[in-house]
Amino acid sequence: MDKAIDRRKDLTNWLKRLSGIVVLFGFWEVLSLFFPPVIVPSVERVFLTFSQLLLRGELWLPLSHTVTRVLMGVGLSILLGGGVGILAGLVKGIYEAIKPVVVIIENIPPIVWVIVAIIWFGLGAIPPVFAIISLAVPIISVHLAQGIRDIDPSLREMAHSFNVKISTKLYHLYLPAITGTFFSALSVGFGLTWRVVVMAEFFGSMSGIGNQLNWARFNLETDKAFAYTILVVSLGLMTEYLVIRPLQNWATRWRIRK
Amino acid sequence: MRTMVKLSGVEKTFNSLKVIKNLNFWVLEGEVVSLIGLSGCGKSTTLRIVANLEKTDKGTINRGFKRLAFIFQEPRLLPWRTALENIVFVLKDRISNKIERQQIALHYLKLMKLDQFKNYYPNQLSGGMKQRISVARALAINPDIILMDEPFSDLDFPLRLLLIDSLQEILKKESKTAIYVTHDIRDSLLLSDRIYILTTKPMHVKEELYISTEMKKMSNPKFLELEEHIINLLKEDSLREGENK
Repeated sequence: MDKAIDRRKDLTNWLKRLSGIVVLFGFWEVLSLFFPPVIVPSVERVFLTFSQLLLRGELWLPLSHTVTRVLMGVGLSILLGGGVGILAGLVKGIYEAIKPVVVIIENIPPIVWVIVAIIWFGLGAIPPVFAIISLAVPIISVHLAQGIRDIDPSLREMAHSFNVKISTKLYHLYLPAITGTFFSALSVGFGLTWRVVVMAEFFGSMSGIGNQLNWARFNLETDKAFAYTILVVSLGLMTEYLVIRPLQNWATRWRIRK
Repeated sequence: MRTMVKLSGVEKTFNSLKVIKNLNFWVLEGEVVSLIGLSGCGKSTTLRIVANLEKTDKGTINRGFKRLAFIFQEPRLLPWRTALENIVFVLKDRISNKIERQQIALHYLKLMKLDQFKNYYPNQLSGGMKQRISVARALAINPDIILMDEPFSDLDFPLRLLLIDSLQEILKKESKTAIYVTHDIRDSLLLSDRIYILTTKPMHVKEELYISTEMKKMSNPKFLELEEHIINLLKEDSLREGENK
């Protein structure tokens, strides 16, 4: 009985969400009726361009460049941010010292990182990766440090009273305890990453989705710009719902089992 | 018999309030000793001092044990590990063989009649079951001494009696030394060989009682006599505390 009610509630919620998207697309379609395609292309025109790009295989190369950069950037950020975060979580002095630095870094507009990276490394693959790292490392390290600091002190004391070694504590107490915060950091980080990488490619790279957007701007191909935007949004949603959430659910499966 | 713990002239102050003053007591090997006192008198602090989780301001503590296990008031289980894994957690650094670790953990889960729940996560188990796992965890490391800080206080009386019964049996069978902190007189009479009655503000030993095996039975009139005697001692303390307020 409860399950049936839950299922009905889920369905209603999904319908509400879907109606929001329908309204958005409807608004877009109405706008396209009043403006020429070069200003606002219609929904069907954009999806037609998207499918043509897909079928002609034009999408794959910029997509692979962008995805590689995101994976490299996020991977390096996890290593760097993870190391700093764990250290700051374990040592209060380091935590206090990095807190203001992180606040300063977080307030630097992402475009600044791109500009600095172009000056330092020139145009190419490095500026997007550099921008991702600059953005994601503070988020991951602060989340992890906070996660470790928030670990139930009674569990720490229990481990201490049983004389458990730090390596065992790290693997069985600290890491599982911060899984939730790690994945929420990853979710926030990835969300920003897709947006920043495109911007960084737009200004500082000769390849990738951002570069394609630059060409679309240059050639006044608004439908192409919209098509690539759909691609970036899809990538963001796919990482969240097909990668991060399933991994998070798996890692925190002990919470749902009742 | 060797002395496992000896506290001499121990003092402890919290925020300029002297909580413990001139505390002296000892525990011999194989003994189960209870510390009884009113809530908040400093019993748990004493236990934490013995476990080296708390520092003292004055006095000496002689520890004749190498390995101690603590059973806390709450089960303190890792929520992301199963019942079996929670016990294995404290064995990791002591036993290198994985199979041996699991066998030991399972043995103590069996002892607590929880072996069929070995793959359950703590949030799938009742409060009593979780506390039994924490008892199994403490026994699994084969400690020289077990420190128990009111581990059964959150449980219903019948369940508490059952747990005390099985714990008493195990402690005797394996001739374990234990310090049991409680404010429940019956629990301590059932479980202990010796009881220290503690007064409050600042805490020190008021009286020491020896409990023979015969006296540990609730049907024995001596049991009720002793219970009444302790109640009166604690009542005095409670009244004194009330006057001071």
